[in-house]
Amino acid sequence: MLKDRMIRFGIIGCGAVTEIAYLPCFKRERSFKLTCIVDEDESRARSLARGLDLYYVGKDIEPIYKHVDVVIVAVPNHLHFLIANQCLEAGKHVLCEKPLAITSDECSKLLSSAKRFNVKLAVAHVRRFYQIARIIKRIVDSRELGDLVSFDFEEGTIFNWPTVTGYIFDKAKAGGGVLMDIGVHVLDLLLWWHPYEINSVDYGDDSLGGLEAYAKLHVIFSNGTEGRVKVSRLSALRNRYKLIFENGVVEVEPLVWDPLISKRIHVTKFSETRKKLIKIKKEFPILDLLSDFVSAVRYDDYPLASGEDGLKVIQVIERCYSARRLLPLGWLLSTADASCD
Amino acid sequence: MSTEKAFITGATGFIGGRIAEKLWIDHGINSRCLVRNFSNAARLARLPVKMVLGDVLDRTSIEKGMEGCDTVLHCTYGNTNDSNLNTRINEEGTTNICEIALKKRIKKLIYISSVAVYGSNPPPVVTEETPTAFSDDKYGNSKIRSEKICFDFLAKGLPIVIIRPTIVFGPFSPIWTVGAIKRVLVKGWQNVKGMNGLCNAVYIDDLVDGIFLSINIDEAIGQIFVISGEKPVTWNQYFSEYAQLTESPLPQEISETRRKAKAVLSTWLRTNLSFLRRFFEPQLQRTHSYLKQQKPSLADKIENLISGGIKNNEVRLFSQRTSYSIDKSKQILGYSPGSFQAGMKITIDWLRHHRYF
Repeated sequence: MLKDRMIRFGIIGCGAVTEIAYLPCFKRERSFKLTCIVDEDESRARSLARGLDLYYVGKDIEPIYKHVDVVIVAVPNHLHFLIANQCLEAGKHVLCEKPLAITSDECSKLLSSAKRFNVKLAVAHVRRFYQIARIIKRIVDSRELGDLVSFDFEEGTIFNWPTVTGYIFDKAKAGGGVLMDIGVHVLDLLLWWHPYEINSVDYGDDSLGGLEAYAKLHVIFSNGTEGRVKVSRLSALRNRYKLIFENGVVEVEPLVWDPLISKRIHVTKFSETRKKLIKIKKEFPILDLLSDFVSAVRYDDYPLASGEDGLKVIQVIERCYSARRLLPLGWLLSTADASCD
Repeated sequence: MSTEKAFITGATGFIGGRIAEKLWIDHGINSRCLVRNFSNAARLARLPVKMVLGDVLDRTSIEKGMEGCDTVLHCTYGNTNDSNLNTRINEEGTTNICEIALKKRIKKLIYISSVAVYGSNPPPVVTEETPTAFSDDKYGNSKIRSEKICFDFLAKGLPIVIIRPTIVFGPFSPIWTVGAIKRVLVKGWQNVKGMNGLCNAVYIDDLVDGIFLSINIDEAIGQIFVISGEKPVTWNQYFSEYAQLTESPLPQEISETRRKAKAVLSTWLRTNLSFLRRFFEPQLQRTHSYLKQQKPSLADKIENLISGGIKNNEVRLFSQRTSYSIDKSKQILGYSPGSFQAGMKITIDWLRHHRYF
């Protein structure tokens, strides 16, 4: 029984996220362990495996099945479906990097496979594990400030992810631009905090046939809550998450590029004059993501970010892309009109 | 447009990036771009361009990138921290580009040089006929040598045009727009008595239009063109445009002695700070964040002290009364730049949109 023994992980894909995010967790954590690393570039796999005690390091997937309970799928986006499905069909629990897949059809098929083979499927919507995200979730769920009325999320930075292969800028492989990248995280939080149906989406971006680097959407939920989301790879936007409730406001203070890694969150009750400041202690969201999935696998529980959550985000992104219009950015199109804010 | 497919080096940069954009937006021409580091490619990736991983020192990647192209726009220059590598990128890289372009019978190669080739003491009026001059500016010296390489290949039959842009501003300009707004935000620009130099500013789209004209006109081959705005503004006017956007209006006029004193103090502070940063980087960042949040005026004063305004090595540039003539570009290319204000208006929209202020 998995409940009684060490959970064994394999990682497929040795890009930057594996090197920067996952491997340090396995070096730190002793309650589960990494046993296999796979990458089509075997030398890359070997270089990441240096110093680790593993059963298998190579480019083939089949040999890892006997050594693992859980597979982390961290390959380029367009391969998520293919590889995750293969692992699910082999009876392995899968934690898939975001996005779960690049179409909702693929996501649905993954959900079916997980059900058919009675295994867990989670998606690395890691923002849910940030303390700030959990605090906001608690405030929304408890209704201590009343219902959510509107929101304004802005997140942007000059892109500097140390992409190893550059697939993220290949339309066919990435499936989308900044919306399919940072946008997945932002939309997941929105849908997690405010789990209502979306009635309408107004969407625009700056793609000229390639991948958008700036995207802006206006969302109206079925309960009337509405707001806007802006994401960018080209500049540091305000990097602010602002949620306006009936009786107060929650605002994440922008200290660093990623607003949810911020160390402070302000909660203002309209009935009180002072803001309440919540300070955040050191946190390890990726480790929490892995621990949560281990727990779901071990005790047959739901992971905090499940395959269903991955599907919901992709459905919204598909709606955005199908409603897409080119934003009237004067500096891009050489027009005097630059009325886009 | 007399090109069907262009090969661009430096396309993840400011000028090369805009060339790729305008080729596609204005002319529907899809380019092939040499990309050294995908981490810088977010802007370029908005276009349906073909990105070829490599650099100007890697001949295989150049061969691959230039395949099927009729025009080369060579915008790369070395801007690393390693001056020897920069020299190799500028000179060996230009040689590689020219050799392969010659072999592939490219119809036209446009080399983006700089008015830095005129050295540190240019005459009051500079034209394409003004002699180049080596100086203490490594960038300018390297551009002179790169131009020489281009002329050697022109003699071998490679159709080359050399473009010498002046101060290029506009969206994504790292020094003269992003750098300028950051500078005024920390009060790094000073109105120094007697320092009334001219800024030969050119809006990026005007420069790119000039470059495209040079592609279209056969007479341009073998020629040098200075590309600047219609007429210069003063540096004070230039920085005022940015300062007006911020809560940091231009300071009162100060004397040269006071500027020097501040420059000395800031140099001393920066030197010590860089030493402290080696050991206390997180603590210093936390303190900075705290001051910005809790004591913004104190934080501004400290930033101002550290930035120190105009540095001694900048005085020459900001004092020069040189005008760069664009008569030849107008006459041969039909170059016709828009007004400084028109370019600045779009630049300001871009800065606002990108939350630089």
